[in-house]
Amino acid sequence: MNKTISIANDFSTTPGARYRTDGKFSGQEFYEDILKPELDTIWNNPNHFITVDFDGTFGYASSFISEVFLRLSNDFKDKSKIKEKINFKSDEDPLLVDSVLETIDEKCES
Amino acid sequence: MKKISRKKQQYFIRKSKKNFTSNKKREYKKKKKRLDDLQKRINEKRSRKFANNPNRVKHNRLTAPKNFSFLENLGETISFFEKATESFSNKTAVYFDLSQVENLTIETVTYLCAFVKNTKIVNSTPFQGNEPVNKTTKKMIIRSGFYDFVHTNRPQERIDDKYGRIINRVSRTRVEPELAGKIALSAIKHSYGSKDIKDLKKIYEILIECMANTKNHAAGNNKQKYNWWLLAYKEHTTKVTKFCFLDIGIGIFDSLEKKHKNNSLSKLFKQLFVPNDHLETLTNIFGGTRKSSVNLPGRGQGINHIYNNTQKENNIKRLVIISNDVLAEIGYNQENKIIKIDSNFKGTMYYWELNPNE
Repeated sequence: MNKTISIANDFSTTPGARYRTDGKFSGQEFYEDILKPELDTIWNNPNHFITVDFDGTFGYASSFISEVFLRLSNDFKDKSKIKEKINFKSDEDPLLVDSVLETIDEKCES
Repeated sequence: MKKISRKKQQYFIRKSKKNFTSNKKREYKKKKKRLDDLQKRINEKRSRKFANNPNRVKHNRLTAPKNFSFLENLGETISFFEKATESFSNKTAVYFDLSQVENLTIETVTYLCAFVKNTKIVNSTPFQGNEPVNKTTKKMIIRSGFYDFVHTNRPQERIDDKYGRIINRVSRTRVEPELAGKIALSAIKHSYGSKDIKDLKKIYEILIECMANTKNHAAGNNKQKYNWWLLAYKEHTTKVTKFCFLDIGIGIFDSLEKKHKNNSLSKLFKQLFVPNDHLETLTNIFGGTRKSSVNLPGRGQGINHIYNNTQKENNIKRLVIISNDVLAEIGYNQENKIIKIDSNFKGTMYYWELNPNE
């Protein structure tokens, strides 16, 4: 089963910066309120996957992307499993997916 | 008379000392408030006197250069503001004489607005100014929304385009993604007649990066926050939209130095023989190889992202960054220009153009 999270429709067309204290629609808000709960639900279920759809927004600050996917990488640890469980869709900016995958691979310091 | 026990004596002594101290503190606060109120009334009286007739108050008349522009006449323009800063720090009133200005660019009018509204610089000192005689320049100041921020005898104008005027936010509060979206949308509508959000992504991302940088880094390590100022000025004849985003903080390099304190001997030697490694720092930031000021993964990519967006988007022309003693000019398909300037520009200024004609 595949669930799609469209950032534009399920979160905001105007994603913000890094933390909640930076302003509305931050990376922290998206990760904690939307992405992590969904991933927690499907993490141990081998038949469930998530597609994160980046299209339809006004764009992404580097801090938004790095906050979401560094936290993801830090919390869920298994990077290859993350990449199996989550598909990334970005037809409007294909290079964004490469940037996300690089961020997931980046070494996290606790 | 009944004898008081030693314990009680000590209690009474402690209590009376405490009362004495708190009474003194209360008196001191009252006195300070009286003096502050008095000073405030004196300042207001002086400002009113100066506003009614500048000749009644001792002041410095500062004449702005004919080419009043950071982009085209950096040295003289910075010098003008340095003289104003010195005057304010000496509590001498300032008269900004703009009558001779023939060329005024949007980043300068934005900076002028931010400058006179900066309470730390102005220091409760009265100031006043006049308009340029040149009609084009006068019209530009009016359209920019400069008079939304200063008292003027000019009649109030109808506001046609609120996203094309100077906008100010105190960065203690927030990065504003919805506002950035509206400004970006308004800009592409003006320049390209488009409402497709695919066309505005790079502009939007640059705006968010600028806001985030100010909010997080303009104050260095201090808890104090700074305002940011933004103008997306739309030229009717050419369809060009000119953006200026600035803060009067401590600047990119002073911020990095504060957070990355390194007083090692090797750094001191390097400063002797390579006096300005700010140029190298900015080159590394553009290349994505400079560590962030907080030294954590995924950080410090804001300016690099701005740089990449400019390089990839052929409609974003001429991104200029001025901060501390560095000026950088970059653009699509052009060689980067990063130079040292003689003055120390306090704060950070970004300027770029959305030009459908080139």
